[in-house]
Amino acid sequence: MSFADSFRSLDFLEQAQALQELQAKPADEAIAELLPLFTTPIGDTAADSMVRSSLRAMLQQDDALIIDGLGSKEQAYAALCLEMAGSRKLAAAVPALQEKALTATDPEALQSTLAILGSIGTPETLPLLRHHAGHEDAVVAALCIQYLGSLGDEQSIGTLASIIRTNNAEDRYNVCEITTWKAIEALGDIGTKGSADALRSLIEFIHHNNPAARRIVQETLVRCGEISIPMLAPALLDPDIDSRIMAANALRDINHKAAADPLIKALEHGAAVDANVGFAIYEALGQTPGVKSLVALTDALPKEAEPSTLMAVVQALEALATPMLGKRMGEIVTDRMSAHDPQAQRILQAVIAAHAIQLFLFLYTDPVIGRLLMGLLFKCDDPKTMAIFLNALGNATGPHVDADMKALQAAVPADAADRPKLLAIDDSTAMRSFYRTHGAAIGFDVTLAEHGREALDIVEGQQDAFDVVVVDMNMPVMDGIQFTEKLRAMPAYAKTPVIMATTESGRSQATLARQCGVSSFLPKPFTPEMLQNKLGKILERSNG
Amino acid sequence: MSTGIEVAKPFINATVNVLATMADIHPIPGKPYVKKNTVAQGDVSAVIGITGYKNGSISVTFTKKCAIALVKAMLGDDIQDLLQDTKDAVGEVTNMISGQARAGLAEMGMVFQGATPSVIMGDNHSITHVTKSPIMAIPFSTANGDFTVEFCFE
Repeated sequence: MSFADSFRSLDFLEQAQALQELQAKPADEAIAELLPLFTTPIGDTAADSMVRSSLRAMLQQDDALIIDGLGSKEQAYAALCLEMAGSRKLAAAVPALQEKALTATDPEALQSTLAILGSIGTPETLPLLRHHAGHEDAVVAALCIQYLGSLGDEQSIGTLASIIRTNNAEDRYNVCEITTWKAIEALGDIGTKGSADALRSLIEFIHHNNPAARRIVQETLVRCGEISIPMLAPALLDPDIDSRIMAANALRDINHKAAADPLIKALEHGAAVDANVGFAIYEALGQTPGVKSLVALTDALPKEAEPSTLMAVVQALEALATPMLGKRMGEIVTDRMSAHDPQAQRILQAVIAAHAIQLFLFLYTDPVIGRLLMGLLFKCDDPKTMAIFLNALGNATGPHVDADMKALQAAVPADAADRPKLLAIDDSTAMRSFYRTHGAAIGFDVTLAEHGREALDIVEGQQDAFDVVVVDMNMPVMDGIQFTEKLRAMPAYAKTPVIMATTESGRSQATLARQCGVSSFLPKPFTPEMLQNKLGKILERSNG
Repeated sequence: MSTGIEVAKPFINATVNVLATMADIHPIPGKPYVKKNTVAQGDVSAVIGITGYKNGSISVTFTKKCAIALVKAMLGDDIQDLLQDTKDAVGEVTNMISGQARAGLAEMGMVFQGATPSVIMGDNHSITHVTKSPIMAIPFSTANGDFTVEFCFE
């Protein structure tokens, strides 16, 4: 009687012993005896698992047996050998695996073989992976792309770029395909392994038409970190404004001091002529530690007149605030005042609007500037802003502190309950401050959110519906388009005006936004007056 | 490092298999795509957190029509409380999909542990996936409405 047949009639302990004895035999013989038990299991979980473990132990003794088993007609056995070739990263198994992949008839077998080949990760596999990167089954193709990335295959850069480009076309960008996602990440992986070409290729898609793809490009560049900084530099001066903004945002998130140079150079080359680009660059400088950023930002103070840009400068300086900086800023404001330049007033206005508490406390100690700041505060008409500065004054020093606190307390406007409600959603801190200040100035009770998801949470938890929503287009977590889509699905918000504030200039993006229910657009940059006009009109319409 | 696309296929297969076995529903997978937000594309979802070879989560979201077809197929006329039974059926099916897919993956040397599913209902409910990586969604169509399977692995 064969080993397998007699094994089936033994009790558990005897089976264990029989397996142990079997292991003393040469591995190939032992495997041949054991195989029938593996391919036709006994049906007893414990015994079957014991058989499987013994088989594994035997195969582990000799890699040649594993490679041999890959071609076995017994599917379960071939699968076990496949798994072991992968877990043992058997480079010697690669030719046999490639043969298996070439003869695979269904995507299933192909995909599992490719997965193992990819995890073994030898360069011999590259031609096969390249060949299947365009496979009609998207999962198989995406898998190959993923491994082309992890193997750092520079030869594939062109193919990967063309996958992303195809998805960027006018009739294709609505959906982010998984091959695009993997191709973006793969370019990042190849770049991380030292290929500047891969990163340059990736940056070409920094302003991809599909928001999800755009976001993945951005995240991938940030993940690559410092090495992508020099590649991003030219994009800061790209003729396409949106690409410049995306490049500045990537540099902001990379958060490395090496980003200061390209950002400052871009300013010197006039990138900030466009207010949105200026805004993004200053915001990025605020996140870029180092003296260079500080100098560039301080230099911008007397020059940047556009309110939102100036607010970005102040916000960035607030993040880097020191007593030295406070002193320098005081000198700049005094200098502008003595030149009768309205910029002095604009700077102080930006300090209030940006809630720049640190800078405020430094400036407040100056006898003249301190009075000007208080004057602006009394006029700001926003209870939240007043409350914040009232609180800050608690830490201030000077002869007027007590009197100022009392006066400010008395000036805080009454309850906000009957004001119309505005929800403003933007991932930029400076832009949120902008909405808060200028929304409140025309009588709105302003609520802020950093991204669509946070805004949806606020909307869901709110008893009274918002009267107007202003939303940015590009944001992390959930972008403006997806937010609007979800908002529109709520009965209470079927008709609420939703204004999309965007730097996006392309028609494709406007079409996307209209389709999801955006009522109107407010192209960035806009002055406080433009925002107030837009909001005022909407309010009149809903009141009338 | 890239998200492991190699784990996707076994989940797709398990989904087709479990629904065919349990409810005689024969779904046809559509073209997978990347979904960025967390809002579900249907009315009832089950989510399972997964740890091991990679960490992540998978979810299955049914439209109302498809969920009811599933409950009817599984329970016949013995529906006591539609809401409770739907929750139960969707959770159970997802659990089976997760179990079967994990068994397949373990054979390929990728060992995962799965938690118990949590079921969420309601219009526009959101699904919180465990990681921040892009979410891959696979739409399925059936004679009784559609459903979506989502994965998110770090």
